[in-house]
Amino acid sequence: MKKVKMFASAAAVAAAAMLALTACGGGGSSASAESGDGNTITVWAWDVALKQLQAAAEKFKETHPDVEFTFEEMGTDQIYTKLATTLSTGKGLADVIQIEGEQVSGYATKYPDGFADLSDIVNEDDFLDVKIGEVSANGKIVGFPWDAGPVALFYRRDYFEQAGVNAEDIKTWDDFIEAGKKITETCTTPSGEPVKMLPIAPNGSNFWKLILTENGGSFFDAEGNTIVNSPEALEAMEMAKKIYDAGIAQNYSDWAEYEGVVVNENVATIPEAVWMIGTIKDKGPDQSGKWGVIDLPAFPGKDPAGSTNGGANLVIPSTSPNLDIAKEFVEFALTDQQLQVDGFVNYGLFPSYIPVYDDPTFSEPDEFFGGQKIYETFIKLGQTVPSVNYTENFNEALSAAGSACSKVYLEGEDPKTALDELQNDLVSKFGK
Amino acid sequence: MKLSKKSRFFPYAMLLPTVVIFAVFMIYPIIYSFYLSFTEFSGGTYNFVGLQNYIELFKDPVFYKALFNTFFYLIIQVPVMIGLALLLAVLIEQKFIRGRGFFRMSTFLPTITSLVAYALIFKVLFNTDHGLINYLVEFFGGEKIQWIYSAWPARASIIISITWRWVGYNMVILLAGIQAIPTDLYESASLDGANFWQKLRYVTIPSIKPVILFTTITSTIGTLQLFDEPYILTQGGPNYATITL
Amino acid sequence: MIKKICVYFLLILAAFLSLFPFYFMFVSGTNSNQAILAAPPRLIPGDMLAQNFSVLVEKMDIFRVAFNTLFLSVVFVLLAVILFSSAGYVLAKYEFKGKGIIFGFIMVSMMIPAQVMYVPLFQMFVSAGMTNTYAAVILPSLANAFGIFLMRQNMMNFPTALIEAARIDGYTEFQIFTHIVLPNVKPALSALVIYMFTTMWNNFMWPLIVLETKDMYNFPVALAVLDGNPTNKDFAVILLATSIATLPILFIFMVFQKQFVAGVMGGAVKE
Repeated sequence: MKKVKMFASAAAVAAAAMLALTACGGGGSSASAESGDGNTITVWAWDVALKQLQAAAEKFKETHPDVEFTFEEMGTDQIYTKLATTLSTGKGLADVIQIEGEQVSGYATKYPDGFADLSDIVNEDDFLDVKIGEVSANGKIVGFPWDAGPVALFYRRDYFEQAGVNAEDIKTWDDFIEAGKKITETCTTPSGEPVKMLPIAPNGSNFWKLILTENGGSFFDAEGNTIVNSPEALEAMEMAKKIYDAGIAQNYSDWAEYEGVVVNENVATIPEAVWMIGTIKDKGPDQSGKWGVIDLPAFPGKDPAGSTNGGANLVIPSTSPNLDIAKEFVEFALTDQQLQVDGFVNYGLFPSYIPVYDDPTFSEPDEFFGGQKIYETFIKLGQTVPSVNYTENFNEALSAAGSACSKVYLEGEDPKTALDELQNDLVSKFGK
Repeated sequence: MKLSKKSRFFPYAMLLPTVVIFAVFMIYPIIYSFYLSFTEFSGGTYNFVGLQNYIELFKDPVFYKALFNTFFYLIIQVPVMIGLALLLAVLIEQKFIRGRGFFRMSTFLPTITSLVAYALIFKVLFNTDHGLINYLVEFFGGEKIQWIYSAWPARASIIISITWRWVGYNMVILLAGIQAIPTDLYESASLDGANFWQKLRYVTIPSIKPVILFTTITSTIGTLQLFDEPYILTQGGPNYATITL
Repeated sequence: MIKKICVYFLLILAAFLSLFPFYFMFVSGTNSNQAILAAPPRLIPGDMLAQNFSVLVEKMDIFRVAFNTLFLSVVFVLLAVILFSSAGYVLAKYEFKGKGIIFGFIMVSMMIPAQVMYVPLFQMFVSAGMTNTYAAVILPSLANAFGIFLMRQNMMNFPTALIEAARIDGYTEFQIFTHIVLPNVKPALSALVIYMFTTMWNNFMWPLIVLETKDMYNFPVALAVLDGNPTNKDFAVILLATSIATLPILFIFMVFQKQFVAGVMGGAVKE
């Protein structure tokens, strides 16, 4: 009977475990759904943004001692997976959630009552236009703008010098290509390979999208109609092709390889958003003094303009039982001058709240960038970026655009043909 | 089997927990999802739209690319992988081999790799400029291959990656089948003067046909649900060349 | 002799190709990000292990995560062994009404991708107030057709004569199962343990959805948090954490591997 006993005891252990599991249900769950006592705020955010919000919470408690906080650190993918499942049930959501800028209107359109209307606490004139565009959906303000991603051109002073290229002389993308050819011919990386001018992902749309925004174009117009074959879009695609075909681009295919071009010193420039400062400092700590920042090259015959990439916003689900206090906290955390400055200094979160730009911190030189006052460039360029309508179809359009770009870069397809085809595909998919 | 009256309920009692779990956590969600596939989520609620989602799917050109790729992987990758798994299994079972446990285990390990490590490593191997694989290609006089950036090599890289991950898993299953073949079959084949390939062809393969079928079926199901590799290695690109259903 | 060398060469090549990524993963945990992202990456151990580890423990409660993962896996394996061996046994050895339908449903469910079930399942656990519990992770995972299939295939091989003999000796049906059958299918149980342990240890999507707080996360979810910043990734720390998460699986496989092969066999040969 020994075997019987063994089986029976295993079954008993399992049954006990099951009971314990179910019992854990009460204690373990901290979801906001049940914390409706009006003073516990649950926050979902990732990495440094979470740390910054924790700092903000400490300060907030000085004036609101009865408010408690629960912080859950989550990755971006995790937040989106959870949003997709929780917004359709309205349960299990946090009170304050961080969402990447481009993604806000997608969720807000799909779940029109999902996020609380923040029109009463967001003063549109105080924020960068591009950020207001990100949080606008259905004629409402559904999120609170946080960090911005104004794009400028990071460049390597040493490579430029070696090739005899003067950074100030690069005014247009055509100048950029000429300089790129010189650098590719002259400079070599520490491991002896030719230095390329910039990194491009040939199976993605990142670069085209970046200069499309600079050229005043976008995927959708204000009514949400697809306009990916507009004259601006075509001009941007032709320029992207010209740059790629000039042989001055370093291919990369994912984030690891993108960081790799910094580590391996493969490129002389990176057209990227302000947060790249942190990535460059982290991944190339020994490259101090070698980097600088200039305006993004302009399209021939046009004024210099900025572009945008990344940055996040905060949303508050409308089902939050702590709506009022959550709104108060978010407004405080994202408009308190000192908090914004600290967030930038400590974590590189570049504020989109315009009044804070007057702070002396933003006109200080950065030693890593050769003592250049680089933040001023980003502030200047950030204010030139127009508001963009992202719509609920942004992700699908982005992936289709990546496919169109790869045809242009890799298969030599004519930009106009590729964009017309992209336009037709998207219109038939979205119905507009 | 004839059972007494009292015992007649025994199978049901044994199955009851399983059936309840499947009903609640499998059947119900499937039916519910199937219902949702006839609806559209908009304005915060699900509205019934009939077959519209399916019609949109069949009108979407990306769907056909996905369909093509899935079947392409199926036709090329499954036979290549099973063949390779069979070869490895037969080699490990050669009498003179020492350290069988080591070979068996090392080949099986890729099955349990975490996706993050898997992704990083394969990016390193397939990198056009510095990848180990292109280094070998050049060493043997070939030209650098744009693994990630052109359609057919990208598909090939996906096939290589899946094969790497699952060949050991199938090998272990085939190995188990081979071990069950009576040794006298091989002995008599040896007496008849059969060489390695003839033994493989006339003894091993016929004896383990059911096992081969089993691995083929499970691999086919796996490939039909393929998602990880295209997502991580090529993001479905270039131009949807590697995307799957 | 040449033949032997060729065979060894092929096997060693296969072993090398399989092990190399693991080697790279473990070595990278001791290197800096610069060394990992370099082209070609550094392939010899570095001296950054202590520093990477201290960053890791600061970012992730690694002992809590290890406990969660282990607890989930052990309880799941225990329940899976009990459920699947009972179900597999009666599906293999008894004739009764509804057997065909039940087995058919179980088999068909193997083909359904898990993603389609997440929304309904999540709604269900929300209404039951059971999100963020261990039970919410384990229960849906128990609807695992492969485990039942594996057990049934193994039990098919079990000699019916033995069962009949035990019945004549006066054993009850349940005693036959626990007393006669289970002790004789140990290899199959080992195979089941490895499969199920690995499945739960690497379980990612569903725990990601249903778990809500950091103190409940398992390794895959905690790794995703570690990998969560889209613009600046700490690969050395991520790979170190991945290495730590992989070790227990290696251990389990080493312990059970001999029996594992035999157990898989029972599942595959008969059909």
